[in-house]
This record gives sequence, C-alpha cells and structure tokens, in this order.
Amino acid sequence: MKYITIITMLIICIGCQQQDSKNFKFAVSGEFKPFSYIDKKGSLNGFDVEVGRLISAKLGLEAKPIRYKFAGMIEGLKAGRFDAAVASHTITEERKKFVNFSSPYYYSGPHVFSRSDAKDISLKDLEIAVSKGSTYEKAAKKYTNNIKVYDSDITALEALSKGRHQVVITDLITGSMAIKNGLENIHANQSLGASAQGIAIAKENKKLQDQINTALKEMRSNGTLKQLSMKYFKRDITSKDNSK
Amino acid sequence: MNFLITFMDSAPLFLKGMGLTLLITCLSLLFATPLGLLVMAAGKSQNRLLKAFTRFYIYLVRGTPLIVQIFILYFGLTDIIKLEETIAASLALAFHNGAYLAEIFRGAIDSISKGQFEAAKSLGMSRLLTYRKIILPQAFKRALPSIGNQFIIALKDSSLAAFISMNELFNIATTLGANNFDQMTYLLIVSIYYLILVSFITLMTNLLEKRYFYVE
Amino acid sequence: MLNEIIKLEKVNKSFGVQKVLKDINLSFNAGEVTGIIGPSGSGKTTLIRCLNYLENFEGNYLFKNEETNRTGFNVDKFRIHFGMIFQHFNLFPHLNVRENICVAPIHVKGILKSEAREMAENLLTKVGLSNKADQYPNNLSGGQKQRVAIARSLAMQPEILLFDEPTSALDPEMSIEVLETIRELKDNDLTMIVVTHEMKFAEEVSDRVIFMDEGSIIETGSPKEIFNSPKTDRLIKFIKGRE
Repeated sequence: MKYITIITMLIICIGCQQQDSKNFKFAVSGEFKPFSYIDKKGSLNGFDVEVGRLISAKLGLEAKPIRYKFAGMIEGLKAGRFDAAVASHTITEERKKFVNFSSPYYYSGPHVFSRSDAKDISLKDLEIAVSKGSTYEKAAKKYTNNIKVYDSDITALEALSKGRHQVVITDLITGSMAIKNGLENIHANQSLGASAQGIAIAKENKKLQDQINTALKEMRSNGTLKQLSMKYFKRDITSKDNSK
Repeated sequence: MNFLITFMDSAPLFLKGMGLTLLITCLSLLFATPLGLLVMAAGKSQNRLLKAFTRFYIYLVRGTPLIVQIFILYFGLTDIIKLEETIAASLALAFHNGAYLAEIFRGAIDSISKGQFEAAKSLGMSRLLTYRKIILPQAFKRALPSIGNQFIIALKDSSLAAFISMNELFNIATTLGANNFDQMTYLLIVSIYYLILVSFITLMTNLLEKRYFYVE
Repeated sequence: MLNEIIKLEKVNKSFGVQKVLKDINLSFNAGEVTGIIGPSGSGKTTLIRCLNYLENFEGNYLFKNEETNRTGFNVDKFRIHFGMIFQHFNLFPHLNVRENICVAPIHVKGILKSEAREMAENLLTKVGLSNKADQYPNNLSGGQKQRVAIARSLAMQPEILLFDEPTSALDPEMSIEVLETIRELKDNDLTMIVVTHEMKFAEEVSDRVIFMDEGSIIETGSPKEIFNSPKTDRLIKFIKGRE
C-alpha cells in the first residue's frame, strides 16, 4: 500500500512539473543546420537557438532550448509543452489559426535543390522530397502528387544526394550549408519565392508575444540580430531587403 | 461526428497507405519465411562454418534496432547498390524477421520428441524426408501461434518505413497530423487501420490452427 | 534349417564413461524369435537399437554375412530390413492411422497410393483395428496405438522386427491384446527380437531367450533351459525376483 502511495506521488510530481517562471523554454528542431543542430559537445546550437538565447536574456529568464520534432511543434505549443518555438517557422495564415507569431526574425524562402545542374528545371510531376509539416510540402503540391516526406530536411537532402528522388524543396540557407558540409551531387536550383520566419507562441500567451516583439525590436536596433546573422551566414538575412 | 468526417475524408489517402503497408509486410514475409527456414536448416547442419554464420546473423539482427537496419539498407548501401525504397524497407524487414522466424522454427523443431525422429529413421526415411513429412508439419503446428505473433510484429514494424519517406499508414497519419495540426485524430484513425489489418492476421492464424488441429 | 542373418562380434558401446555393452558376441537366425530379458539398465534396449543403427557402437556387425558400416554403406536403406516397435509407440500424431501406415511405403519405397491404402486396410484388419483407419493416434488407447505401430512396421515388409519393451507403457489388459498380436506374427517367417519384462510371454513365444546383465550376455538358451534350469546365480536371482 505504502509502495503504491509512493509511486502515485512520484507520478504526480513528474506529471505536474510546475511551469517554471524563471525559464524561457523554447523548442527548436535540432535537425535544421545551421539554424539548429547538435554541436560537437552535444548541446543544441545554431542561429535559431542563439536567437532564443538572446531573447531569454532580454526577458531576464534562463534559456531552456529543447529539441522537438518539427512536425509536432505547433501542437506541442498548443499543449503547453514549451513557451515558444524558435524554429524557422514560415509565417502562414494557416498556422496563425493555431498559434501567434512574433514579427519576422529573418527572411528566406523555399528553394529547389536538384542533382542536375541545369538551370530552372520544370518541377512538374517530379518526385519531390520535403520535411514533414513544412511549408515546402505545400509548395511541392503545386507541381506534383509524388511527394516523399521525411522527418528532417537534412535527411531529405541526404537522400537526394544519394540518388533518391528528383528534387528537394527546403530553405536556401539550410540546403547550401548541407552542400558545404559535404553532401555531394546536389545544387541549388531555383527560388520559389520569399517568406518571413517568425517565432511561434501559444494563442493565449499575448503577453509573451509582446515581450518577444519588444526584445526583437531592441535586438534589431542595437545590431545584435544582424551580428548573429553575419556570424552564421556572412550576410544579413534579418532584414527584408537584404534577404535575396 | 467531426472524427467521422475526418475519417471519411482521409480514407482515400489512408487506403493507399494501407496498400503500401500491406505490400511491404507481405513482401518482407515472403522473403523472411524461406530465409528463416534456410537459416534454421543451416543452424541444424553439421557444417561448423554454416552454424557460426547463422549465429552471427541472428546476433546481428537481435543486437541492432530495426530502424538502424532500415537506414543502413536505405542510405548505407547506396554506393554498392541503390535499393528502391519499397525494396529497401521490405528487405530490411525480411532480414530482421528472418532471424526471429528462424528462432521460432528452431524452438518448435527442438520441441518435437526424439521418438519421432527415431520412428521415421527406423522406417527407412532419410533425414530430408523425415523433416518434410514428419517433423516440419508437427513443428509448424506448434509454431503457428508464434508465427502469427511475428507476422503481427512485422506488420506493425513496417511503420518504421515512414522514416525513409515511404507513404505507408504511419507516415500518412503523421503527415496529415502535422499539416492539420491535429496529430491525435490521425493517430486514432491510423490505429483503426492497423487494428483491421492485425485482426485479419489473427483470423488467418486461428483458421490455420483449426485446420491443423489434432490432439497432441 | 537355421540361417544366420545377424552376427555381432566384440560389440562395445558406452555413454560417456559408462559402458553399456561389453564385448557382445551374438548371432540371430532367420525366422527365429529371440526374447531378451534382464534387469533395467542391463543394456538390452541399447543392444537392439544398435541392430538398426539407432545407436553407433564399436565392433563388427555382419548382416547376411556382409560387413555393415563399410564404405558406401547406406544406413537409410539398411534400416528397411528392420521394423521397430517402441515402448512409447512413437506414432506420428499429425497423421491419421492410415497415413501413419502409408507414409513410409509411399515415400520410401515409392509404392502407389492406392496400393498402400489397400495394404493399410489389410494390416489394420490383421491387428484388429479395421475401423480405426481415419482416427488420429491420440484418440486411441495405448494398446490400439501399439497395434497400429506394429501395422506401420509391417507395411515396410521388414525381415526383422525389433520390439523394444512393447508393453511396458501399457496396463495389463492392454498388454494382453498387444501380446496376442505379436504371438500371431510368429506364424509368419519373420525374425523377431523382443526385449521384454513379460517373463511368461518370453517363455511362451521365444525360440531362444537371452539373459543380459550389466552390459553382458550372461546366459543363452531355450526358454526351458532359461526358466526351468538357470545356471548362473544372477539369472536365478533375477527370475526369483520376478515371481
């Protein structure tokens, strides 16, 4: 009996971890180099992670990045598993139905990667691989029904480089970085438009949204956001005009 | 009500996924069953090298996760041979289940009494004939529940093919879940499809058990 | 007209360190019925299991004056000369009675199915089980099982029948029906070697009785000699203990 009581208490303790008000818990994918990845020391790192850390500092909270599958992030946010997702989400009307977004923290766009180096190939009816739950899947649907879905963009790119599928649609920077990091036989082919990436916050947490927006504004005006971009990409992707 | 509508709306996609799940499972079991028999036979042979090889194979399969085996076949071997993903997934599953089936067969054969071998021998039956006519049919009957079990495991394990982008049941569920921001609903729906498939295997096993019934 | 069919010379057999057969020299004549008696563990079962090579052993084994185990010796073919009846029947539980009888003739000898079926019916009539052809073994009584086993052996038309304690797993009533069946076989020209605990039966049915103890043959003789005037202390003690 005593044993059961102890077990029950334990379960309750674990189950009801108090929302720690001293932490800023934010989700990153960890599979989207260089925006988020696991570094050699085993900790989460990358542009998204550092943006999250800077915001934490501005909010006066301790940064707690956690790894979460991209495809489940919006739902994780709804369920209150973390405070925000700093995970390169493209701001879309569809996502806005479920979560709030901060003002954009960088600009990018879906980009086509292919094995062939012919310019501007037609995507019609090609086999396109994308990551699950991404806006790239939407983009691909305009051209084909033959879509292969992976859990991460990097895995999709690796499959492409190993001779599978015909093209991958992903972020230009992520794709270029993967090529730089050793994925062979693949090339950046064409841009499919521009997008603005935002930090996702739970609907009911209006206060946090405002705080994050203020923090982002400050980081823009004092140049820290730009610095971070220069560090990772050698150019400024944080303002709309420079994103091309 | 909403659930029903979602269920109906998603049915065409899920049915397609179910077809693929069935295809991978059937293909893999079609390879795995003879493979298991072969490995079991090799393990029973007098040849030491063959015996050591089967032990190593079973050791490898049991010692590594199936998802790792799938990824190795999908990514690792591309320099040697590029396996189409259906084949890669089926082969990985076959490779995996072959080892487990071999163990099931071996266990069943070891459970047949020595007297059966001796009776067959004393009637002048060769080793091969003894196995074919006397031992294997009895072993098959005893192994049936375990074989059915392994087939069910194979079916459910085929969901791991989602990780190499196969649009089988599980991948359809998680993709729809991600795109509609509603994993729960689609996971419940996909559970129904899996339950239907598993019920089918259970039914088949029960029928076979009835068909091969005799008092032991 | 006695005709030597089996000859064992200096046969030795051990399980690990335990010697179970010690320097056995023994021959059997065609058409003769031999009873082998002796206490448990005396090696009598092992001895007849050597005769159809269910056990390997050291020593010489001549069958119809020909060396067995020579190069090119085919043990599967050799075993066709023998039928064996086991203590625990060892019927094939997944086959019905008819199939139990037919399986070896069809697949070993290549006899036509229809022929084998007919033979099975005849044999079943002979052992008094003509109505059991479609039954599965485990629906039969012990005595019926053993009679099916006898029919199964006979279907291969062996020259020699080996009985390994055919009634010791049966209660007395069932033993009687099995012993009756064996007795009836005596009228054929079959060579029979019967390991048994049934002294009365051994005395009555055998042309010759062998008494074994501790892996050796202690006495051999006609049933009268063995049971009425035993020579060795061990046999006297054994027979007394039995009565």
